Order: sequence, then structure tokens, then C-alpha cells
Amino acid sequence: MRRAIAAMTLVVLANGLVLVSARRDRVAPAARTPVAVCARHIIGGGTSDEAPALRLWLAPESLSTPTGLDASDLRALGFAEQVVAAVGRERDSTFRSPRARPAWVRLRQRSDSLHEWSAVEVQPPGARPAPDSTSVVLHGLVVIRERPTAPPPDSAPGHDHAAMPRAHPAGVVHPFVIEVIPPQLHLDHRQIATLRSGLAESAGCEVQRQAVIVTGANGGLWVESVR
Amino acid sequence: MPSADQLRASAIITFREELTRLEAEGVVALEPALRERIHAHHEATLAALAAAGDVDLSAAAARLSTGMRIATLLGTIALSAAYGLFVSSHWGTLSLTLQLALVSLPPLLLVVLTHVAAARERSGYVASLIATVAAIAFATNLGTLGQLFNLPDSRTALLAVGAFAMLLAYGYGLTLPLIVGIGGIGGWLWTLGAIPLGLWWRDGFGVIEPLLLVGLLALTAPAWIRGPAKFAPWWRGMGAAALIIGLLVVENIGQTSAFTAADLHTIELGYKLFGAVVLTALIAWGIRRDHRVVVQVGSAGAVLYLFMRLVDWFWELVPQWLFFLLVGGFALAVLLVLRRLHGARVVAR
Repeated sequence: MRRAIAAMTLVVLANGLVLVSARRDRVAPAARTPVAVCARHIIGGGTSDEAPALRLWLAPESLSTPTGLDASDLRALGFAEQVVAAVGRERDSTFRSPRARPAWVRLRQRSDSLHEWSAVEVQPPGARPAPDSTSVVLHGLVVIRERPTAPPPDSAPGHDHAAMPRAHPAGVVHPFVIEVIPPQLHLDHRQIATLRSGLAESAGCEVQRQAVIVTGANGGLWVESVR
Repeated sequence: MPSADQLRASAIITFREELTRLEAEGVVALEPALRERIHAHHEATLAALAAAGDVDLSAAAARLSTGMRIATLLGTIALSAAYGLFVSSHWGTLSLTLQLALVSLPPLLLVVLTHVAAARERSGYVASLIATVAAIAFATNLGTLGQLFNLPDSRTALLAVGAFAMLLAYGYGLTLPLIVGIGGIGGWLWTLGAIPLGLWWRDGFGVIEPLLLVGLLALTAPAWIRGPAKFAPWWRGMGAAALIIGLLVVENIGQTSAFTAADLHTIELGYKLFGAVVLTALIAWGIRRDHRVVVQVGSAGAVLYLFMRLVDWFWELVPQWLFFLLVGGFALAVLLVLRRLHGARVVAR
């Protein structure tokens, strides 16, 4: 019986810890960031099996180097010297992509037609950037990998090169943010209902709604409201 | 694995059958008084075992128990699936309070049910299943809390679920939750290797050396953790499996080593040599200490290890038919060695 009580206490403690820290976080928000929401940004809701959430789509252009990813910053993230030295050059046969490194990432929503998110700043785990009203700050993983070079002009659709033996050109080694954690923000049942009804006619980003993402006192993120 | 009570009951039944056979063949004839004394003692022992726990006193009863266990297992899976599908199909329409209640109450209720089942059904089979579902419900609870409050995933959930399963396993002597517990705490320890390497905790699963240490720790755990005797083979078996799987992975994929700054070929070669030593030592240790599960897991690992070496050495050198002929010949050789070892042990006894 004693161990059953201990197991139940563990459940209560774990739930209590999360709820209390979430409550503390939400008492004094540090920043509010208004964002545009399109149909492709939301998942779940209604009778869907997925939990309703606002997905933080990373734009492919995040491959461009954000602030904080030059040689000294990459060393600060823990990448080895020979890996850092390979950045910006064509990958040679000795290059091995290292394991991803955790970092703080500042994301800013782009104002183009897709409203995806770009990583604009990266900092080592010990130096969290301050939140502001134009961006959100969260955990992310940085990798240094080969970015494939653009295909040669003659490989446009219509040309059949499948049968031609050809060496694949080596890409340029580049650092980029591969993942943000969490990759999506929870939406409650009212928020998802509002968004679903407002964006029902749209599949892409022709129609938009607005949401406000709040950064809490301890750095937690949540969707406060949707319009 | 049968309980100690079941093993004792089975031993008594086997003894009776063998004694009847010996008497029929004229090998032995017990004095009626002695025979009666043994019979009375065994009857009392069987009655006590039947009263203390759920033991099968005949082959028919054992078959019936197996059927009941399968029905319980299927029932538990079906109930868990019904709960999971119900929650997921209505999740988006529920308020936060209801969502929290739906994920935090099940582990608590299932702990209570585990307690009731352990008291009522002495074999512990039903309690074992309920406790395992409780551990899964707790894992779901923590995962959902993280999702509701947008928390970054964390290795602490592994520790919490592992500790929860261990409390139920040791509290009620249940094997299935023990496996979940070893997996949870072992997984947590494994990911600790990510800290000195400066990796995100999940990427710790891609580094094998901590897994080797976890395997070693689990192998020795029965020596320093007090608990039911039936737990020891599970600790050793899972420890041996972790050690062997880790070695088989790292010796083939050097990039999973923590020492990736070194030459990959050197790492793989080093681990191949180390693997041969470890596997031999593991099997020898298992035979010497009579740890059957260690010998079985170690032997399976050794066969896999040797098969991989045969692929390394011969696959590209010889035609495929000859390669498989070599593997077949090798299997026969292993069989001969094991038969000789087995014979030597029988003679020694």
C-alpha cells in the first residue's frame, strides 16, 4: 500500500509542478506577439485525431544564416573546429555532418504570402535572448550540413536525364536551424473553433486571422487569443 | 516466467509422477508409512500454495489459466484502445479542465485498481497488466501536459514514468511494470550522456557508450537492489540485451560512438575486438553463476556477432552460395561445441 501511495503522490506531484509553473508563467507575461494565421498553420480540432495546435512553420529560407551563426558563435554552440572550418565551402569527402546542437532561437514571422517563420537569431543555451513584440524565442536545434547546390539549368522539367550517368555536384556546407521545440503551440477548443470557422473556405494563405502569442515571465509560450 | 509457488507445485506433481513410474518399473518400493507421510506433507504444501496464490495443480488448470491470461490481455488492450480513441476523437471539443481530468485521473484510478487486483487475484497477472496500463497512462498524462502547456520535451518524463512503474513493480512484485521501469530509468540514464557532449537530450539516444554503461549497471543491479527473486533474471536479461545491442550497433556504425573525433574505422575495429571479449566474458560469467538468461541472451548476441563478422570477411570474397554454406557449416560447428559443453556439464553434475 505504501508504494501505491508513493506512486499516486508521484502522479500528483508531476501534474502539480507543471500546473503551478504554468500558472506562475502566465501571471506576468513578458511580451505579446501578434501573428497572422492561415488555414495551413492550424492542425487538429473538431473530430480530428490530432490535438488542435498552431504550427510554427519554418521557412526554407531559414537556410540563410541568422545572426549568431558565424564561426565564433558556432564554436560557442559546441561545434568542433574542423566542422566550423568547413562552413561556407563545398563539402569534401572527409566532412561528416556533426550531431545537432541545442540553442535558443528567435523566430520572426515573414510578411510574404505564406507567413512562415524565419530564424533570425541563434544563441547558445546559456544566453537566452530577450523576448519582444515582433518575435518569439524558443529552443531549437542547429545543424551543419551540406546544402545541395541548385540543379544545373538543363535539368528543367521536360529534359530526361534519368538515364545519363552524372556525378552529383557537392553542396556547400551550411549551418541552419533544423527544428524548433516545441514545433507547435496548443489551441484550446474555443480558439480552434474560431480559427476553423474563419478559415473554412481557405486551404492556403489567401484568408488570414490574427492570433496573439504570449511569452511568459519564465519564457513559456502560449496562444492567448485569436481574432 | 512461473512464480516460485508455481515452480514448487509443479515440482511436487512431477515428483509424484516419477515416483509412480519408478514403482511401476520396480526400481523402488517405499514403505507404506513413509509414502503416506510424504503424500500428506505434499498435500498440505499444495493446499498452502493454493491458498497463498493462484497455482495450477494440473495441466488442464494450467491451460485454463493461459486462456484467462490471454483474455485479460486482450481485454486490457481493448479497454485502453477504447479510452485512447474516445479521448482523441473528442479532444478538440473539450475544455482545458476536462482535458486535464481526462489525462491525470486515469493513472491514479489505475493505481487503485492495481491494488485491488493484487489483493484479489493472487497470481498477480491481472495486477501486472493494470499496473503496466497505469504506467502508460502516466506517460500519456505527462506527454499531454507538455502539449497543453507548450513545454519542450524532457528526459525527466522518462525518469518519472520509470520510477512510477518501479514503485508498482516492487510494491506488488509485478514483472511487467518492472520491464517498463527498467526501460524508463535506463532510457533516462542513457540520455544523460548527452549532457557532457552538449547535445539535446533526445540525441543522447544516438550515443552508444552510455547504453553500454546502463547495460552493465542493470546486469549488476540484482546484487545491490533488494526485491523479489524473480526480478533478478529480468534485470540481468535486459542488462545483457542492452550491452549486446549497443556493441552490435557501435561496431557497425562508428558514428554512434561518443568518440567521433577519432577515425571511424579505428572506432569500429576497436569495438569489434571489445565486443568479442565482452560476449565471451558474459557467456562465461552466466555459465559460472548459473544465470541462464544471461547465457541465452549472450549466446544469441554471439551468434549475431559472428554472423556479422562472416558477412564482413566473406560476403564480397566468395560466391553467395558458398557464403551460406560457410554460415551453415559454422552453425554446425557452434552446435557441436555447445553439445560438448553440455555433455561436460552433465558429467560434472
